Amino acid sequence: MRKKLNLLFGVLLPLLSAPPFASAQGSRVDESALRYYASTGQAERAQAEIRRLRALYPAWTPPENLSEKTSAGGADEDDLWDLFAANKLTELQAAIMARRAAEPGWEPSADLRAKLRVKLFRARVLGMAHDGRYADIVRELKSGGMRIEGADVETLWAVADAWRATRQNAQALDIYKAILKDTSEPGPRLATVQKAIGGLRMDEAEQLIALAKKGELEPIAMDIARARIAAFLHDERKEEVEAADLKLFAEYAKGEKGLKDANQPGLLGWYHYKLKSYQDALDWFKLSLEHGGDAMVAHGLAHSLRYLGMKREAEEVAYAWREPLVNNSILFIDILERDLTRPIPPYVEPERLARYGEVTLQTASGEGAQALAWYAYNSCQYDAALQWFTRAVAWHPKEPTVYGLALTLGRLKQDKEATVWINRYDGLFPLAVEIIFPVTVKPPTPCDQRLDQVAAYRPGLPGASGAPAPYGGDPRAVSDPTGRYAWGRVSPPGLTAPMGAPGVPKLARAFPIAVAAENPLRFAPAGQGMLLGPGGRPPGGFAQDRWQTGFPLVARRVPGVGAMPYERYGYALLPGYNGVQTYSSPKASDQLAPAGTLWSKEPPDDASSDNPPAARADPRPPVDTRAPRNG
Amino acid sequence: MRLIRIVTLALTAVLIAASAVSMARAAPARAQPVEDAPLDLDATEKKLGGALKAPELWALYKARFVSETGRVIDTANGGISHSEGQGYGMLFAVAADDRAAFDRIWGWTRANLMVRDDQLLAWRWEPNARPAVADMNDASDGDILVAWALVEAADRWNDLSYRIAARRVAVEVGRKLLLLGGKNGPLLLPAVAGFSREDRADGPVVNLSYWVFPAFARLPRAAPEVDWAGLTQSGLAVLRASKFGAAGLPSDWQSFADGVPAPAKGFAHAFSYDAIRIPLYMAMAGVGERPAYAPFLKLWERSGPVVAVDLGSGVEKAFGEPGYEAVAALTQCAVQGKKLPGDFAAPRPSQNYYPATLQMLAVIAAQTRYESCARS
Repeated sequence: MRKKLNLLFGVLLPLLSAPPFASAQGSRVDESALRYYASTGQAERAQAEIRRLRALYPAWTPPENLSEKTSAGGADEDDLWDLFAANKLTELQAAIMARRAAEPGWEPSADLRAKLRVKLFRARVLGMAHDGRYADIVRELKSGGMRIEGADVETLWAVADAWRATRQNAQALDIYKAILKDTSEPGPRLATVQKAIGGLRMDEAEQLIALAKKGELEPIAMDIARARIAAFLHDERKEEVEAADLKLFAEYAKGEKGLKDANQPGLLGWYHYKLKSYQDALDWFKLSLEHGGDAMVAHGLAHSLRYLGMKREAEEVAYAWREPLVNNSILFIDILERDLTRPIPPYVEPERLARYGEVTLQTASGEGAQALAWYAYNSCQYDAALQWFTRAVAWHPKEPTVYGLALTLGRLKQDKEATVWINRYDGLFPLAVEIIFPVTVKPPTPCDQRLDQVAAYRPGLPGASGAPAPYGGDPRAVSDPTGRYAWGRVSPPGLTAPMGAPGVPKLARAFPIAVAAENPLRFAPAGQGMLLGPGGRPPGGFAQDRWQTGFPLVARRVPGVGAMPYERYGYALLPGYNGVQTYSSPKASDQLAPAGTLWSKEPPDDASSDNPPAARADPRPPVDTRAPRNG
Repeated sequence: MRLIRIVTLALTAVLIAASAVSMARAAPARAQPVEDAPLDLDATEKKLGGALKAPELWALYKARFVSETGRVIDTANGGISHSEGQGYGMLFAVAADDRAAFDRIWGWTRANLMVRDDQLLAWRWEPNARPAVADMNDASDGDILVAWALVEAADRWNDLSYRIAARRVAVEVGRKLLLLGGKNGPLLLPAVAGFSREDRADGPVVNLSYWVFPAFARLPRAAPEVDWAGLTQSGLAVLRASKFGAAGLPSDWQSFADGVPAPAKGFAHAFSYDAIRIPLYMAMAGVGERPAYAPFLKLWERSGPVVAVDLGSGVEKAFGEPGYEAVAALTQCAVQGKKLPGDFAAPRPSQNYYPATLQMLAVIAAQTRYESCARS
C-alpha cells in the first residue's frame, strides 16, 4: 500500500519539480500566495492574505517589493493559489492534473511548481518525522526522490534529525552548517546550534559553534558549557573544560535555577570525580543531595567519601540509599567486605555487623555471607562462621569460601562433613584439598594466641603498645566500649536452617571418598521463607536426573585450575574433558586481562588496598546531556 | 462534464492513497510484505515476565530437561549442563511465570557454576566426573542469558536479590568480555580465556551467536553504563561482513585478527548449531534490516528443511528436529509476514534439549512481538 503512495508521489514530484530556490528561507512565513496576488494586480485578495498572515504571525510585516512580477506567466492561476494558500495540497495537485488533461499544453507557472514542490517536501518530511520514519526519509533522500533545496529551517531540522537517527552525523552536521550559512535570523541560528549540541557528538557540535558570529552564542553559553562538561564525562572530549566555561556553569548550577534540578550540581560532582578532585566532587554531590539529588548522586557521594578516606561515612551513605539503587546496596556490601575479611579483623560494632547481616540475607549476597563468615572465623566464632559459610557456599562457592567452610567444619569437629566438601571440590579447588595434604604445617592459629597478636596491632586492648589504629579515624570504630571483646559478636542468621548436604557415607578414609557431584546448598533470600532444594516438599513436574549414576574417586584435570597438592606425592589426575593432561598456569584467577577490555585498564588489584570490587567498575552513570528539566 | 469526472477520479485516487497510508500505519508493512520495502520491525523493549502463553510447552520442557534440583539437562550431550542452558531455563521459567522453578534453576546455577573468583559462570558441568565443573572458563552467552533472566525476574517479581545478582553479572560482562574501541562498537569475547589476541594467533575469535540481541534491550536495566546498544550495532556489522561460501552465510566461529571476519582455526567452517540462533535472536529483538535476514531466508527457501551448511564444500545437512524449523518459521513471519504453521507451538515430546530450547525461544518471540503471524 505504501508503495502505491510512493508511486503517486513519484509521478507528481518530477512533474512539479522546478529549478531550486537560491537559498533556504529563514522565515517560516509563506508569502507565495501574497506575492502572486500582488503581482497579478489583485489588491483585494492581497490585502486579505496580508490580514491572514498577520493574524498567524503577529511579528510579521509585509515585504515592500510586493509588486515584482513572478517569473512564470501563469495567469489565471487564482484558484490554484487559493488552494496553495489554504494548504490544500492534494486538491491542488488534483486540480493541476485535471487542468492538464482538459487543456493540453497547459502547465502551471514555474513559481507555483517550485513552491508546491517545496511545500510538498515540507509536508512529507515533517509527516514522516512525526511518525518516526527517519530511515524512510534517509532512503528517499539517498535515492534522489526528495531534494532539500528551498526547504525551510524547520524541514531542514527534521532532515538532520533523520540523518542523526540513522547514525549519519556528518550529514546532519552538513545540514546544520548550511542553515548557519543561509539564515541570518538569530532565533533559528541559536536553535540550530542547540540542536547540534543535543543531538551530535560534542566534537561535531564544536565545528558548528566555531562557525558562529562573535558573541552570537552568548544566550546559550551556559548550554554549551554544560555540553562540554558532559562531553568530557562521555570521553568525547579529552581536554578538561576551560575555567571560564566551568565557572559559568558552576554559577548556574548553584543558583536558584540550577538547584531546581539536582542533576545540574550532580553533573559537576561527576566532573570533579572524574578528575579525581574528590573534595570538590563531594561538595557538589552534597549540594545536589540537599536539593533532591537521587540515589545515583548518593552513589557518587559514597565513592567520593571512600576516596577521601571516610569509609565509615561512605558505608552510611551507601546503606541509607541501598534500596532505591542496587549500586548502593552492592557498594555497602563491598566496602565493609574488605575489613571483614582481613586476617586480623578490626573491631566492628555488633549493630553494624547485624545490619550487614540483614542486607546480606535480604539480597542473598554470597559476598556478604563469606565476609561475615571470615570475620566470625578469624575471631574464633565458629558456629556463626559455619552458618554464614553454608550460605556463602550456596550463593557463590568460590575457592576461598569452600576452603573456609571446610576449615570451619574442622574447627567444629565435623570432620566427616568437612571431607565431603573437600572431596566434592577435588580437582577444582587445590586450596581446599590442601587441608588434607598441607604444604607446610600451618594450622590456623588458636584464639588465645590470636588475642596477643591483635593486641600488638590495636590500641585499647590490654597489652597494646600504642601502635597506630589500623582502621578508620573514628575512635568509636576501633574497640568495644565495654572492653570485653576484641571483635564484634556475629549473630547467626535468623533461621537456623538445616544444611542440605546429604549424609556422609561411612568410609574408612577421608580422601578420596565418593560424593555427589552437585552442591546441594540452597537458601532463599530473607523474607522468602523456605529453604529451597532437596529436603523441601517433593515437587512435581520435574525431570528425572538419570544421568548422575556414579561418583568417581579420581579427579580429572580442569582447564583453569593449578596443580593439586597430592601431585607432589606422585598421584596423577585423569585428562580433562578436552583431553588436557597438565595443570593450568596461570590458573583462571591469575589470568591476565585481554587488551581492549576495561579490565585491562584497571590498576593492579592490591588486596591490601581499600578498593572494594564495586569500585573496580567505573561508577559514573550515563550522563544526560540535555537541558535540565526546569530550565 | 468530462473534466469534472476526471477531477473526481483523481481526487478519489488521492483519497484512496491517503487512507491506505493510515491503514498501513495501523498494521505495519509486514501485513502485506513487499520484497524491497524497508523492514519495519518493532525493536522496542519488551518484558518477558509472563509472556509465554503456552503452559503445556513449559510443562513439557520442565518435565524433560529440568531436574528437581534445578539442573537444566542437555539430553543430546550425555546429560551435561551448561551456563547457557541454565540461562535459558531461567528465562523460560520467568516467561511462564513459574517462580518456584526459577528459584530452583537459579539456585542450582549459582551453587554449581559460580565457582570462579569473579561474577561470571563456569560454562560446563558434567554429572559423572570429579569434579563436576569441567572448565573454569566462562561462556559469554551463558553469562548474558543468566543476567538477562535475572533482569526479567527482578522485573516480574520485584526482588532485590535478583536485581543485585543481575547487576553483578552484567557489570562483569561489560568489564571483562567487551573489546572496546572498534569502529562499529565493542566486540564480544566468547569467554574470558582462550579467544583474545593474546591467547590465539588468529585472535580475537568471536561467535556471532553469543550476541544475544534481545538481551541487549533489557540489560541497561541492570548495568546502564555498559554499551549494550553498541553491542547490537557491532553484532549487525559483524553479520554484514560475514558472508562465507556460496550461500553468503556467517560461520559459527570467526577470526577477527585482521579486522574482517575469516574462518577461525580449529573450528569447523560451518553455519551450524550456533549460528542458527543468529536470525532467531535478531527476530526476537526486532533488529536488522532486510539484507541481514536475506541469506537465511534464501537458504531455507532453497533447502526446504532447515540445514547446517559446510561453508567450504557447500554440503548441507538437515538438523532434523522440529525446533530448528521453528527458527525458520519465526524469521519468515518477522521478515516476510508469513503465517506461522499450525504446529509451531505444539509440544514435541521426543525432541532434544537444544531444538526444544530453540522452539521455546521462537514461541516467546512470536507471542511478544509477532502476534499478527499467529492470527488466521
